Amino acid sequence: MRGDFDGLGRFADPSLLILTSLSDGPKHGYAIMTDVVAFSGVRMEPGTLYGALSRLERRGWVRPLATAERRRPYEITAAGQQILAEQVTTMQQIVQVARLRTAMAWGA
Amino acid sequence: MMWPGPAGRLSRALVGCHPRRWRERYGEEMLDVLDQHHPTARTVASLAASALSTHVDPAYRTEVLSLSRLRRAAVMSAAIAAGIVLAFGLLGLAAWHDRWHLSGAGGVGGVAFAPGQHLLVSAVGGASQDSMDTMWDITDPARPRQLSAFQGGEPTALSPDGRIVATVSNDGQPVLWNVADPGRPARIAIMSAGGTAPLWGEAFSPDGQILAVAYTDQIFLWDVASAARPGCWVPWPPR
Repeated sequence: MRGDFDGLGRFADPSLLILTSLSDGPKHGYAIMTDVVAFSGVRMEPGTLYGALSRLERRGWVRPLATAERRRPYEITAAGQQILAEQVTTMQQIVQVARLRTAMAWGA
Repeated sequence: MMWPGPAGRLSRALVGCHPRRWRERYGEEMLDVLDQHHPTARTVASLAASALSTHVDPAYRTEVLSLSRLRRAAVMSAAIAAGIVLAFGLLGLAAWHDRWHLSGAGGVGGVAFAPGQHLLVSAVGGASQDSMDTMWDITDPARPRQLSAFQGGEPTALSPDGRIVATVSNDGQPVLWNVADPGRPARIAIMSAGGTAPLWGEAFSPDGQILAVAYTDQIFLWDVASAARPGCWVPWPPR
């Protein structure tokens, strides 16, 4: 199955960052924000985070867990892991082509 | 929890502007995130965009909005829009003001380049107290950047190496300014042993060693190889 990631339009980048963040275990909203800053340098704001989370949840790529006080952790689903793997493969292909072409262009 | 600032209060209010079903699902979580986050203008903008997009989202838009909530959302959106327009307006005004804003009174009477440099000096006014020279960085000619302004006036000249400006004192005599650091000009010398007629022109020689100073009746050549101690040759025509 080729996941319909393109359907997320401009939300694709936050979605990818959130799926990557959840790939090593469940996290609540603020933990996702701090993790994303740590591994990508992208400062995601709460409006962007929850907009993307609600879309990912509706597509069945993340699932909410039981709330602890006011914090609700999210975990990535099997479908979410599959779509993340597809995206990573595509990105690796892009990186490989970009490296090859820039090396040719710069004569490296 | 620290007492939220204006951005924090606005952010929390914007959480309340989301559709009811959305608030019931995510509202408490978002408020918890805001308690830990340091809200900024970006936070406010992202929440405003989120509130608007969820109201047109098919999953939430079936909700009938109450008139009071619609009014509240409209007022909030108008306030944010007005703030953004005002901020951009002020930024634009500041940029316009900075661009070619000339210090001093009156019109520009002289400009001079340093060859091969991105420096320009302009002069406003003549030999008077409120006449000024202005140094410009014109690396990007579309966005000239004012570096400094100092007492001077027309005529003015910039040495070929861009390190010395010759201008005029308020009593009509040539003055040298060190502009090696164009952001902090420093006066080097006043050549008070010059002519007595009105001064109307100054020019550096191509090697920067000589400054020609023209009065209405005589031309003086100054040795400015040592700018701190300029020496004057016999003026032409002699009297």
